[in-house]
Amino acid sequence: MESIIIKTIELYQKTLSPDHGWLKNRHPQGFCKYYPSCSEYTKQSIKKYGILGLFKGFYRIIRCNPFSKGGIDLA
Amino acid sequence: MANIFDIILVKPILNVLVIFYNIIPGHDIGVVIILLTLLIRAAMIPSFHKSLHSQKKMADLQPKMNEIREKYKSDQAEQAKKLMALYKEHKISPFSSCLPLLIQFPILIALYRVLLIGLGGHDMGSYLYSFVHNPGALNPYFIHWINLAKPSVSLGIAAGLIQFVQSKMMMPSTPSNDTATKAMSAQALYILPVITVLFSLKLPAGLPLYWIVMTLVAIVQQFFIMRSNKAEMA
Repeated sequence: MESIIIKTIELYQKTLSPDHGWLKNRHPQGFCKYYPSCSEYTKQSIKKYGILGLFKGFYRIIRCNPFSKGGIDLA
Repeated sequence: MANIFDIILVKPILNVLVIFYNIIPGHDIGVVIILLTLLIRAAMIPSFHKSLHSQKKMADLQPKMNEIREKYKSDQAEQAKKLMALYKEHKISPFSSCLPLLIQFPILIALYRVLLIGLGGHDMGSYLYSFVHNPGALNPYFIHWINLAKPSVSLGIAAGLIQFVQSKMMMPSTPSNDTATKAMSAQALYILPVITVLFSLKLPAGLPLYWIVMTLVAIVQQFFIMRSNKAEMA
């Protein structure tokens, strides 16, 4: 299950992701206001905490909104 | 899971669509989709202005940023940290947020469900809130012309073309010298519009209509960015 989710995230990163995918050179400064990016953070969380890491990732994406500050936020 | 999805996304979107459908003259679901999309984009305008503003300031900071990039070339985390400190010091935020971007995927899926439920000729009674008047079956035609419940080749192709125009506008003015990056952005330029057309041939035409309006607004915004950049250089 976890490896399926990680594969899905990697597919997203290779294609639609504005930080890692086809469109990344449209955002020379990077797209996501956090480091690492939301998808990378979620991937690392799942590797670290298993399926619970996915929820940590969801929570990060919710925090990654126009009203938050962003910054360094490691998994 | 499907139930939660219905409650937090499908039902609210369906109800708002029906409320608008009831109010507007002509009761045209296509007009409703256009209006709602414009409202969603309008709500995002303040953050758009903020990023426009920081883009201008970014240009001035470019030398300092390159310095940091060069210095911490091997340590990505340290580099990000130093760059973010620099942005903070100058009170700019060149970044976007993931939520408004990623929320589009569930919204598209919800809109798909909404179109199936709302335009499929089913009774929507069980989906509507008690204070929303049930108009019965919705008329699926957009200005008596396109059935938004069925796939439409013309709307699909229009969506692809408009997306191509947008991608073309968004191409960086100073192309990268790196051939891999170059190839990738060329791929994106053609692949994404083609994917849009292929999906549109299978999905209810209400979805490409939503996509067209979203992209047109993005084009207008991009036009403003380019105009202000030009003014900056002059």
